[in-house]
Formats: sequence, structure tokens, C-alpha cells
Amino acid sequence: MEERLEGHQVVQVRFPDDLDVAERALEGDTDAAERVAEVLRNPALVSWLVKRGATGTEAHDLVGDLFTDCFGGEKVKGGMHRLLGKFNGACRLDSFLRRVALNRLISLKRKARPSVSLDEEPDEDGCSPVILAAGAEVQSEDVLIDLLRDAVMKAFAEVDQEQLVLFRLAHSYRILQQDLGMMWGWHPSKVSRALGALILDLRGKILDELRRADPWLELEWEDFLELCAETTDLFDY
Amino acid sequence: MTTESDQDDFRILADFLDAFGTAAQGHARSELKDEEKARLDRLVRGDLEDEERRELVPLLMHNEVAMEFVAEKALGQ
Repeated sequence: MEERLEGHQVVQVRFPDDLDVAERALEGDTDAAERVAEVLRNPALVSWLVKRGATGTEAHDLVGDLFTDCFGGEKVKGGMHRLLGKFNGACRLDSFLRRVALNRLISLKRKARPSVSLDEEPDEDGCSPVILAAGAEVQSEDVLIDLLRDAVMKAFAEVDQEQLVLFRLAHSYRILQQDLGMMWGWHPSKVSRALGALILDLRGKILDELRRADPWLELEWEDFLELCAETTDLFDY
Repeated sequence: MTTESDQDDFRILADFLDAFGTAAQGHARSELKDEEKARLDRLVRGDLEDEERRELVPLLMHNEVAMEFVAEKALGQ
């Protein structure tokens, strides 16, 4: 598999054909540019955003911005960077653009969160109004990584830690469940049940945390996993 | 019981956590004391009672060297 160096990071180019199209489009190849435009014009992109919580208007505006930024560039601290130049072939081009759109949607929604004045009287239950962030600046360049990571980290901190040890030994270190069973004094089926219970618990907690962080965002478990997998691919080193 | 789909889910979460979570979890790397190595050896041999095994969980969760020690012993068997 082709690899390329980006800064200190070695990126695996899993989709060289998509990368070739993007690079030729940036160089002015009209056929390649049309192929990129086809990806952007695909109604599936707008539908995907709407299904994840964007309004129709937001989705169309975001895709419109992608068109502009792919070729026309976006102003980033005084410079001009064409969005398409950030694509590195580690994932499919449509996945990359979808991810950029979702990142921007999250940022957009967070900036639009309402705030309530401190001067308001407590309500009839005697509760003071909750002060929510108003137009808070998004700190991370990739809010999606922060969102995914925070959800995973919080869920992992709350689950049964012994089950988590089993999980890490099984999946990060590739120790067979039968060997873990021997170590734990358990039948392998009990190890399997413990890991099964853990994944259900993690799933529930991760989705709860995503809903807490961004209640408007509608991500199913499969969406979440796909985004995690893409994130790992994009930033693989 | 874990299904093949569960296995895939685990793999994705494990890879993501290894890439983005481990540093944030504050997994220290500190040398193991002889007494800790002895207990971990007994874990790998399956010689620990339930309570003794649970007492090792914090060490395994917060010191990556302990996790690596167990993995090397288990895989070398």
C-alpha cells in the first residue's frame, strides 16, 4: 500500500484513485474536477447530513460551502487553503467530504446555542435559569475527533473496569479468550459473556454521551463506529 | 456472548482508543516492583483468587507496563 509522509505522520493511501482525482482536479484537470463535483452534487450527501440532524437549509448551505472551499479555498488565518488539498487518500473522497461537512455542522450548531441572562428571576420552582454557552468558540480544529474521543473516554471510565481489562487484553493485545479464561479461572464462554455485556454497556453510554453533548445530533451506533474507523484511518500513524 | 459483529465493534473501538484515548487516559509507564511482577505472574498462571485478581485491576488500568507484562507472558506461553 502506498504511504506518504505528512509532517511527522505516515499516512496509508488506501484510496489512491480518489487521491489521484483530487490532485488532478486541483491542478486544473476538468474531467477530474467534474468527478469531484459529482460527489458534491450527489443528493446522498445532503440526505446524510439531514439524517444526522441538519435542517435542509443547513445541509444545502454546507454542501455549497464545500463546493466553494474545495476549489476556491477557505481563509485560514490570513492564508488560502483549498479544502481538496487536505484530502490524503486515507479514506474515500466522499467520506472525507462528509466528515468535513459534519465537523462544520457540529461547529455551526454549537455556535448557535442560546444563552439566558443571569438577571432573570428564578422560575416558580425556585430554580435559576441554566446559563448555556452562547456562541462559544470551538477550540479544536476537528470537533468531531473531540466529540468521539470524549464520548469514548467517558464511557470507558464508567464501565466495569475488570471487564475493560479483559477487553484491552483481548483486543489491544490479541490474547485469546480461552487463555484469558484460564487466567481468570473462567470458562471461555464466561469471558465471551463479559465482553458481550461490556460492548452493550459501552454502546449505551457512548450514545448517551453523544446525545448529552449535542442533543440535535442523530448518530446511530453504526454511524459512530464508521466515524471512529475513518478517524483512525485518517490519522493513522 | 460476543458475535462476529461485536468483535468488529471491539476492534474499531480498541484501535480508536489506542490512537486517541490512551494518552488522555493518563496511562503511566512506570517500572514494576518485584512484588507486582510476582502477582502478575500468578495472574497469568491462573493462580489468583477473585478478590486478588480484582485488586490488580487498577494497576493494569493505569500502568501500561503492567498490561504489556501480562500480554508478553500470556502470548509467550
